[in-house]
Amino acid sequence: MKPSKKELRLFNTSQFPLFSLIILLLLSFSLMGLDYRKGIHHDIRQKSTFLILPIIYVLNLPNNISKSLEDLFKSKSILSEKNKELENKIIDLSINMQKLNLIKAENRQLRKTIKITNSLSINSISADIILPKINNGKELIVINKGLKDGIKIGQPVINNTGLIGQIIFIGSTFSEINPITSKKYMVPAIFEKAVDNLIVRGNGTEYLEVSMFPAHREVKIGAVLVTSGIDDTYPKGIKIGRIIKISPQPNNQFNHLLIAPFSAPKSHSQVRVFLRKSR
Amino acid sequence: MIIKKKLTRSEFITGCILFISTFFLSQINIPLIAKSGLMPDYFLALFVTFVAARFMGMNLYTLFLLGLVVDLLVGQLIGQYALIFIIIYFINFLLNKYFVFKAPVMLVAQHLILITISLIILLVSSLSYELYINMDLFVIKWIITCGVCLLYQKLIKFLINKS
Repeated sequence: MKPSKKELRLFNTSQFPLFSLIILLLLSFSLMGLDYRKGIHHDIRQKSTFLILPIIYVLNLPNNISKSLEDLFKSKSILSEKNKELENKIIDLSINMQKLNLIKAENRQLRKTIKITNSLSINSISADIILPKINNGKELIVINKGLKDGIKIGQPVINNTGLIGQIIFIGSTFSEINPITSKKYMVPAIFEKAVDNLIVRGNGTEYLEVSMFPAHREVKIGAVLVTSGIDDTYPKGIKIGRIIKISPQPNNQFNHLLIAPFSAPKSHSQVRVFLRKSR
Repeated sequence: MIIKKKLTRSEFITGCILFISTFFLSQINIPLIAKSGLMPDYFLALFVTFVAARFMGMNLYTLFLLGLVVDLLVGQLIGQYALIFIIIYFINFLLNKYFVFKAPVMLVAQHLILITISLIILLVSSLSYELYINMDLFVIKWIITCGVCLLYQKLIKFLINKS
Protein backbone atom coordinates (compact mmCIF):
# COMPACT_ATOMS: atom_id res chain seq x y z
CA MET A 1 0.00 0.00 0.00
CA LYS A 2 1.33 3.40 -0.93
CA PRO A 3 1.54 5.89 1.94
CA SER A 4 -0.55 9.01 1.58
CA LYS A 5 1.11 12.40 1.25
CA LYS A 6 0.12 13.45 4.75
CA GLU A 7 1.41 10.26 6.32
CA LEU A 8 4.80 10.48 8.03
CA ARG A 9 7.30 8.56 5.89
CA LEU A 10 10.26 7.93 8.10
CA PHE A 11 12.18 5.30 6.24
CA ASN A 12 14.13 5.63 3.05
CA THR A 13 12.05 3.94 0.38
CA SER A 14 13.71 5.33 -2.71
CA GLN A 15 15.66 3.15 -5.11
CA PHE A 16 19.40 3.13 -4.66
CA PRO A 17 21.50 3.94 -7.76
CA LEU A 18 23.19 0.55 -7.67
CA PHE A 19 24.47 0.75 -11.23
CA SER A 20 26.20 4.09 -10.54
CA LEU A 21 27.66 2.67 -7.32
CA ILE A 22 29.16 -0.31 -9.14
CA ILE A 23 30.58 1.91 -11.89
CA LEU A 24 32.09 4.32 -9.37
CA LEU A 25 33.47 1.49 -7.24
CA LEU A 26 35.14 -0.01 -10.29
CA LEU A 27 36.47 3.41 -11.26
CA SER A 28 37.96 4.06 -7.83
CA PHE A 29 39.52 0.60 -7.67
CA SER A 30 41.02 1.09 -11.14
CA LEU A 31 42.36 4.52 -10.15
CA MET A 32 43.90 3.09 -6.98
CA GLY A 33 45.44 0.22 -8.93
CA LEU A 34 46.75 2.54 -11.61
CA ASP A 35 48.21 4.86 -9.00
CA TYR A 36 49.81 1.96 -7.15
CA ARG A 37 51.41 0.64 -10.34
CA LYS A 38 52.23 3.85 -12.20
CA GLY A 39 52.32 6.49 -9.45
CA ILE A 40 49.98 8.89 -11.23
CA HIS A 41 49.12 10.64 -7.96
CA HIS A 42 52.58 12.14 -7.79
CA ASP A 43 52.45 13.42 -11.39
CA ILE A 44 48.99 14.93 -10.94
CA ARG A 45 50.01 16.58 -7.64
CA GLN A 46 53.15 17.96 -9.24
CA LYS A 47 51.11 19.51 -12.03
CA SER A 48 48.58 20.96 -9.62
CA THR A 49 50.95 22.53 -7.08
CA PHE A 50 49.37 25.89 -7.94
CA LEU A 51 46.41 24.72 -5.80
CA ILE A 52 48.63 24.10 -2.78
CA LEU A 53 50.95 27.12 -3.15
CA PRO A 54 48.39 29.70 -1.85
CA ILE A 55 47.74 27.47 1.18
CA ILE A 56 51.47 27.26 1.91
CA TYR A 57 51.70 31.03 1.50
CA VAL A 58 48.80 31.66 3.91
CA LEU A 59 50.16 29.19 6.48
CA ASN A 60 53.56 30.84 6.42
CA LEU A 61 52.21 34.39 6.37
CA PRO A 62 52.11 34.98 10.17
CA ASN A 63 55.62 33.60 10.51
CA ASN A 64 56.91 35.73 7.62
CA ILE A 65 55.23 38.86 8.98
CA SER A 66 56.70 38.33 12.45
CA LYS A 67 60.14 37.75 10.92
CA SER A 68 59.90 40.93 8.82
CA LEU A 69 58.77 42.93 11.86
CA GLU A 70 61.58 41.47 13.93
CA ASP A 71 64.10 42.42 11.24
CA LEU A 72 62.63 45.90 11.04
CA PHE A 73 62.85 46.62 14.73
CA LYS A 74 66.13 44.92 15.49
CA SER A 75 68.48 47.50 16.91
CA LYS A 76 71.77 48.40 15.32
CA SER A 77 73.76 47.44 18.43
CA ILE A 78 72.40 43.88 18.43
CA LEU A 79 73.28 43.55 14.77
CA SER A 80 76.82 44.82 15.21
CA GLU A 81 77.29 42.49 18.20
CA LYS A 82 76.08 39.56 16.13
CA ASN A 83 78.33 40.63 13.27
CA LYS A 84 81.34 40.63 15.60
CA GLU A 85 80.40 37.21 16.91
CA LEU A 86 80.05 35.84 13.39
CA GLU A 87 83.39 37.34 12.34
CA ASN A 88 85.04 35.54 15.25
CA LYS A 89 83.31 32.37 14.22
CA ILE A 90 84.61 32.78 10.65
CA ILE A 91 88.17 33.14 11.97
CA ASP A 92 87.77 29.98 14.07
CA LEU A 93 86.30 28.11 11.14
CA SER A 94 89.03 29.23 8.74
CA ILE A 95 91.66 27.96 11.22
CA ASN A 96 89.83 24.64 11.40
CA MET A 97 89.52 24.64 7.62
CA GLN A 98 93.29 24.91 7.25
CA LYS A 99 93.72 21.89 9.50
CA LEU A 100 91.02 20.05 7.57
CA ASN A 101 92.68 20.79 4.22
CA LEU A 102 95.83 19.20 5.51
CA ILE A 103 93.92 16.16 6.78
CA LYS A 104 92.03 15.96 3.48
CA ALA A 105 95.22 15.94 1.46
CA GLU A 106 96.69 13.34 3.77
CA ASN A 107 93.51 11.25 3.50
CA ARG A 108 93.58 11.48 -0.30
CA GLN A 109 97.17 10.33 -0.32
CA LEU A 110 96.40 7.42 2.00
CA ARG A 111 93.36 6.42 -0.06
CA LYS A 112 95.50 6.47 -3.17
CA THR A 113 98.07 4.29 -1.45
CA ILE A 114 95.57 1.67 -0.32
CA LYS A 115 93.41 2.11 -3.47
CA ILE A 116 90.06 3.11 -1.92
CA THR A 117 87.74 5.26 -4.02
CA ASN A 118 86.49 8.44 -2.45
CA SER A 119 82.81 7.94 -1.74
CA LEU A 120 82.38 10.70 0.79
CA SER A 121 82.48 13.83 -1.35
CA ILE A 122 79.00 15.20 -1.67
CA ASN A 123 77.25 18.13 -3.23
CA SER A 124 74.54 19.66 -1.09
CA ILE A 125 72.16 22.60 -0.98
CA SER A 126 70.85 24.50 2.03
CA ALA A 127 67.09 24.99 2.50
CA ASP A 128 64.69 26.56 5.00
CA ILE A 129 61.91 24.57 6.65
CA ILE A 130 58.50 26.15 6.04
CA LEU A 131 54.93 25.26 7.02
CA PRO A 132 52.88 23.05 6.96
CA LYS A 133 54.52 20.39 9.12
CA ILE A 134 51.58 18.04 8.97
CA ASN A 135 49.31 16.84 6.17
CA ASN A 136 46.09 15.12 7.15
CA GLY A 137 47.66 13.62 10.27
CA LYS A 138 50.85 12.59 8.54
CA GLU A 139 53.98 14.28 9.73
CA LEU A 140 56.06 15.87 7.00
CA ILE A 141 58.64 18.58 6.51
CA VAL A 142 58.27 21.17 3.76
CA ILE A 143 61.32 23.09 2.52
CA ASN A 144 61.53 26.16 0.32
CA LYS A 145 63.63 24.55 -2.42
CA GLY A 146 62.22 22.54 -5.28
CA LEU A 147 62.57 21.45 -8.88
CA LYS A 148 64.12 24.79 -9.84
CA ASP A 149 66.98 24.22 -7.41
CA GLY A 150 67.85 20.80 -8.79
CA ILE A 151 66.21 18.75 -6.05
CA LYS A 152 65.09 15.25 -7.00
CA ILE A 153 62.92 12.61 -5.35
CA GLY A 154 64.80 10.27 -3.04
CA GLN A 155 67.57 12.66 -2.07
CA PRO A 156 68.56 12.49 1.62
CA VAL A 157 68.20 15.47 3.92
CA ILE A 158 70.30 16.17 7.02
CA ASN A 159 71.03 18.93 9.50
CA ASN A 160 73.91 19.50 11.87
CA THR A 161 72.62 16.87 14.32
CA GLY A 162 72.00 14.01 11.91
CA LEU A 163 69.69 12.47 9.34
CA ILE A 164 66.31 14.15 8.89
CA GLY A 165 64.61 12.27 6.09
CA GLN A 166 64.21 11.85 2.37
CA ILE A 167 62.58 13.93 -0.37
CA ILE A 168 59.25 12.39 -1.37
CA PHE A 169 57.58 15.14 -3.39
CA ILE A 170 58.88 18.10 -5.38
CA GLY A 171 56.96 21.16 -6.46
CA SER A 172 58.50 23.94 -8.50
CA THR A 173 59.45 26.02 -5.45
CA PHE A 174 58.99 23.63 -2.53
CA SER A 175 59.62 20.01 -1.60
CA GLU A 176 58.19 17.61 0.92
CA ILE A 177 60.41 15.47 3.12
CA ASN A 178 59.42 12.19 4.70
CA PRO A 179 60.88 12.44 8.22
CA ILE A 180 62.85 9.50 9.61
CA THR A 181 60.21 8.93 12.29
CA SER A 182 57.50 8.40 9.65
CA LYS A 183 55.96 4.95 9.29
CA LYS A 184 56.95 5.02 5.62
CA TYR A 185 60.64 5.44 6.29
CA MET A 186 63.45 2.91 6.24
CA VAL A 187 67.21 3.42 6.10
CA PRO A 188 70.12 0.97 5.99
CA ALA A 189 72.29 1.52 9.04
CA ILE A 190 75.40 0.28 10.77
CA PHE A 191 76.65 0.61 14.32
CA GLU A 192 79.31 3.26 14.76
CA LYS A 193 81.53 0.83 16.68
CA ALA A 194 80.43 -2.53 15.24
CA VAL A 195 79.94 -4.27 11.92
CA ASP A 196 76.25 -5.27 12.03
CA ASN A 197 74.24 -4.01 9.10
CA LEU A 198 70.57 -3.45 9.83
CA ILE A 199 67.48 -1.66 8.57
CA VAL A 200 66.13 1.09 10.79
CA ARG A 201 62.54 2.20 10.31
CA GLY A 202 60.23 4.86 11.68
CA ASN A 203 57.23 3.67 13.65
CA GLY A 204 55.01 6.74 13.48
CA THR A 205 55.99 7.98 16.94
CA GLU A 206 58.99 10.12 17.86
CA TYR A 207 61.26 7.05 17.84
CA LEU A 208 62.79 4.67 15.31
CA GLU A 209 63.04 0.94 15.66
CA VAL A 210 64.72 -2.25 14.54
CA SER A 211 62.07 -4.90 14.99
CA MET A 212 64.22 -8.01 14.63
CA PHE A 213 67.83 -7.81 15.70
CA PRO A 214 69.42 -11.25 16.23
CA ALA A 215 69.58 -11.97 19.96
CA HIS A 216 73.04 -13.56 19.72
CA ARG A 217 74.59 -10.31 18.45
CA GLU A 218 75.95 -7.96 21.07
CA VAL A 219 74.24 -4.60 21.40
CA LYS A 220 74.29 -2.03 24.19
CA ILE A 221 72.01 0.80 25.21
CA GLY A 222 73.53 4.04 24.00
CA ALA A 223 75.08 2.51 20.86
CA VAL A 224 75.09 4.99 17.99
CA LEU A 225 73.70 4.10 14.57
CA VAL A 226 74.92 5.75 11.37
CA THR A 227 73.97 5.31 7.73
CA SER A 228 75.78 2.39 6.13
CA GLY A 229 75.75 3.79 2.61
CA ILE A 230 75.15 0.38 1.02
CA ASP A 231 71.98 1.60 -0.69
CA ASP A 232 73.90 4.21 -2.73
CA THR A 233 71.32 6.84 -1.68
CA TYR A 234 72.61 7.95 1.69
CA PRO A 235 76.25 8.90 2.16
CA LYS A 236 78.02 6.68 4.65
CA GLY A 237 78.41 7.82 8.25
CA ILE A 238 75.49 10.19 8.80
CA LYS A 239 74.27 9.93 12.38
CA ILE A 240 70.80 8.42 12.75
CA GLY A 241 70.16 7.82 16.43
CA ARG A 242 71.04 6.20 19.72
CA ILE A 243 69.59 2.96 21.12
CA ILE A 244 67.49 3.68 24.20
CA LYS A 245 65.70 0.40 24.81
CA ILE A 246 66.36 -3.27 24.03
CA SER A 247 63.48 -5.65 24.56
CA PRO A 248 63.44 -9.36 23.67
CA GLN A 249 60.88 -10.65 21.19
CA PRO A 250 58.48 -13.40 22.40
CA ASN A 251 60.44 -16.16 20.63
CA ASN A 252 63.76 -15.07 22.23
CA GLN A 253 65.46 -15.31 18.83
CA PHE A 254 65.42 -11.59 18.22
CA ASN A 255 65.57 -8.32 20.13
CA HIS A 256 63.52 -5.22 19.47
CA LEU A 257 65.64 -2.07 19.46
CA LEU A 258 64.11 1.34 20.14
CA ILE A 259 66.15 4.25 18.82
CA ALA A 260 65.96 7.94 19.67
CA PRO A 261 66.88 9.97 16.58
CA PHE A 262 69.58 12.63 16.89
CA SER A 263 67.85 15.14 14.66
CA ALA A 264 64.75 16.95 15.77
CA PRO A 265 63.73 18.70 12.57
CA LYS A 266 60.96 20.62 14.31
CA SER A 267 63.49 22.43 16.46
CA HIS A 268 65.56 23.53 13.47
CA SER A 269 64.81 25.91 10.67
CA GLN A 270 67.49 24.90 8.19
CA VAL A 271 68.42 21.64 6.52
CA ARG A 272 70.80 20.46 3.82
CA VAL A 273 69.75 18.34 0.85
CA PHE A 274 72.33 16.07 -0.76
CA LEU A 275 72.06 16.75 -4.46
CA ARG A 276 74.21 13.90 -5.66
CA LYS A 277 77.08 11.76 -4.56
CA SER A 278 80.15 12.27 -6.70
CA ARG A 279 82.41 9.27 -7.04
CA MET B 1 12.24 9.04 3.23
CA ILE B 2 15.07 10.88 1.54
CA ILE B 3 13.66 14.01 -0.05
CA LYS B 4 15.66 15.47 -2.89
CA LYS B 5 16.73 18.89 -1.69
CA LYS B 6 17.50 21.84 -3.91
CA LEU B 7 20.96 23.21 -3.33
CA THR B 8 20.66 26.75 -1.99
CA ARG B 9 23.33 29.38 -2.43
CA SER B 10 23.91 29.80 1.31
CA GLU B 11 24.29 26.03 1.69
CA PHE B 12 26.82 25.95 -1.13
CA ILE B 13 28.86 28.79 0.37
CA THR B 14 28.75 27.15 3.83
CA GLY B 15 29.91 23.87 2.31
CA CYS B 16 32.80 25.57 0.53
CA ILE B 17 33.86 27.41 3.70
CA LEU B 18 33.72 24.18 5.70
CA PHE B 19 35.77 22.37 3.05
CA ILE B 20 38.47 25.05 2.93
CA SER B 21 38.61 25.34 6.75
CA THR B 22 38.92 21.56 6.97
CA PHE B 23 41.82 21.67 4.54
CA PHE B 24 43.53 24.33 6.67
CA LEU B 25 42.85 22.31 9.82
CA SER B 26 44.42 19.23 8.26
CA GLN B 27 47.60 21.25 7.61
CA ILE B 28 47.86 22.78 11.08
CA ASN B 29 49.91 21.15 13.77
CA ILE B 30 47.88 21.44 16.97
CA PRO B 31 50.39 21.40 19.87
CA LEU B 32 48.38 19.14 22.23
CA ILE B 33 47.91 16.44 19.62
CA ALA B 34 51.02 17.14 17.59
CA LYS B 35 52.42 13.65 17.98
CA SER B 36 52.28 11.96 14.62
CA GLY B 37 49.30 9.74 14.07
CA LEU B 38 47.17 11.36 16.73
CA MET B 39 45.65 13.83 14.30
CA PRO B 40 42.03 13.16 13.41
CA ASP B 41 41.01 12.59 9.82
CA TYR B 42 39.18 15.90 9.38
CA PHE B 43 37.97 15.15 5.86
CA LEU B 44 36.40 11.85 6.88
CA ALA B 45 34.68 13.58 9.80
CA LEU B 46 33.39 16.35 7.52
CA PHE B 47 32.07 14.09 4.78
CA VAL B 48 30.46 11.64 7.20
CA THR B 49 28.59 14.61 8.64
CA PHE B 50 27.70 15.90 5.16
CA VAL B 51 26.34 12.51 4.12
CA ALA B 52 24.50 11.82 7.39
CA ALA B 53 22.93 15.28 7.44
CA ARG B 54 22.27 15.11 3.68
CA PHE B 55 23.93 18.50 3.51
CA MET B 56 23.91 20.17 0.08
CA GLY B 57 21.94 17.17 -1.23
CA MET B 58 25.14 15.45 -2.33
CA ASN B 59 24.76 12.47 -4.64
CA LEU B 60 27.14 9.64 -5.47
CA TYR B 61 28.83 11.49 -8.34
CA THR B 62 29.42 14.69 -6.35
CA LEU B 63 30.89 12.66 -3.50
CA PHE B 64 33.11 10.74 -5.89
CA LEU B 65 34.45 13.95 -7.46
CA LEU B 66 34.97 15.59 -4.06
CA GLY B 67 36.74 12.43 -2.95
CA LEU B 68 39.13 12.78 -5.87
CA VAL B 69 39.77 16.41 -4.88
CA VAL B 70 40.52 15.31 -1.30
CA ASP B 71 42.82 12.60 -2.66
CA LEU B 72 44.66 15.24 -4.64
CA LEU B 73 44.97 17.61 -1.70
CA VAL B 74 45.79 15.33 1.23
CA GLY B 75 45.59 11.75 0.03
CA GLN B 76 48.30 9.22 -0.64
CA LEU B 77 46.54 7.20 -3.32
CA ILE B 78 44.19 8.50 -6.02
CA GLY B 79 40.70 7.07 -5.55
CA GLN B 80 41.08 6.17 -1.87
CA TYR B 81 38.88 8.89 -0.41
CA ALA B 82 36.57 8.72 -3.44
CA LEU B 83 35.97 5.04 -2.65
CA ILE B 84 35.40 5.75 1.04
CA PHE B 85 32.92 8.56 0.36
CA ILE B 86 30.77 6.48 -1.99
CA ILE B 87 30.76 3.58 0.47
CA ILE B 88 29.72 5.98 3.26
CA TYR B 89 26.86 7.14 1.02
CA PHE B 90 25.80 3.56 0.34
CA ILE B 91 25.92 2.53 4.01
CA ASN B 92 24.06 5.65 5.08
CA PHE B 93 21.39 4.81 2.49
CA LEU B 94 21.04 1.29 3.91
CA LEU B 95 20.91 2.58 7.49
CA ASN B 96 18.15 5.02 6.56
CA LYS B 97 16.25 2.18 4.93
CA TYR B 98 16.00 0.18 8.14
CA PHE B 99 16.31 2.74 10.95
CA VAL B 100 14.94 6.14 11.80
CA PHE B 101 17.64 8.54 12.92
CA LYS B 102 15.74 11.22 14.81
CA ALA B 103 16.81 10.93 18.47
CA PRO B 104 20.20 12.51 19.33
CA VAL B 105 21.58 9.17 20.57
CA MET B 106 20.70 7.51 17.28
CA LEU B 107 22.27 10.33 15.31
CA VAL B 108 25.47 9.89 17.32
CA ALA B 109 25.32 6.14 16.68
CA GLN B 110 24.83 6.77 12.96
CA HIS B 111 27.92 9.00 12.83
CA LEU B 112 29.99 6.53 14.84
CA ILE B 113 29.03 3.63 12.56
CA LEU B 114 29.93 5.62 9.45
CA ILE B 115 33.23 6.88 10.91
CA THR B 116 34.23 3.37 12.04
CA ILE B 117 33.49 1.83 8.64
CA SER B 118 35.26 4.60 6.76
CA LEU B 119 38.37 4.42 8.99
CA ILE B 120 38.51 0.64 8.53
CA ILE B 121 38.36 1.07 4.74
CA LEU B 122 41.06 3.74 4.99
CA LEU B 123 43.23 1.41 7.07
CA VAL B 124 42.77 -1.53 4.70
CA SER B 125 43.39 0.52 1.56
CA SER B 126 46.43 2.22 3.10
CA LEU B 127 48.12 -1.17 3.51
CA SER B 128 49.34 -0.76 -0.06
CA TYR B 129 51.64 2.12 0.89
CA GLU B 130 52.02 1.99 4.69
CA LEU B 131 54.94 -0.13 5.81
CA TYR B 132 53.71 -0.43 9.36
CA ILE B 133 50.28 -0.30 10.99
CA ASN B 134 50.19 0.81 14.59
CA MET B 135 46.85 -0.37 16.04
CA ASP B 136 47.15 1.77 19.19
CA LEU B 137 47.50 4.91 17.10
CA PHE B 138 44.59 3.76 14.93
CA VAL B 139 42.31 3.43 17.96
CA ILE B 140 43.34 6.88 19.23
CA LYS B 141 42.76 8.30 15.74
CA TRP B 142 39.30 6.69 15.70
CA ILE B 143 38.38 8.27 19.04
CA ILE B 144 39.61 11.73 18.01
CA THR B 145 37.95 11.52 14.58
CA CYS B 146 34.65 10.53 16.23
CA GLY B 147 34.95 13.58 18.47
CA VAL B 148 35.64 15.89 15.54
CA CYS B 149 32.75 14.31 13.60
CA LEU B 150 30.32 15.02 16.43
CA LEU B 151 31.57 18.61 16.59
CA TYR B 152 30.97 18.95 12.84
CA GLN B 153 27.49 17.48 13.34
CA LYS B 154 26.64 20.14 15.94
CA LEU B 155 28.09 22.85 13.71
CA ILE B 156 26.14 21.76 10.63
CA LYS B 157 22.95 21.38 12.66
CA PHE B 158 23.44 24.91 13.95
CA LEU B 159 24.10 26.24 10.43
CA ILE B 160 21.05 24.45 8.99
CA ASN B 161 18.81 25.78 11.76
CA LYS B 162 20.19 29.28 11.26
CA SER B 163 19.54 29.28 7.53
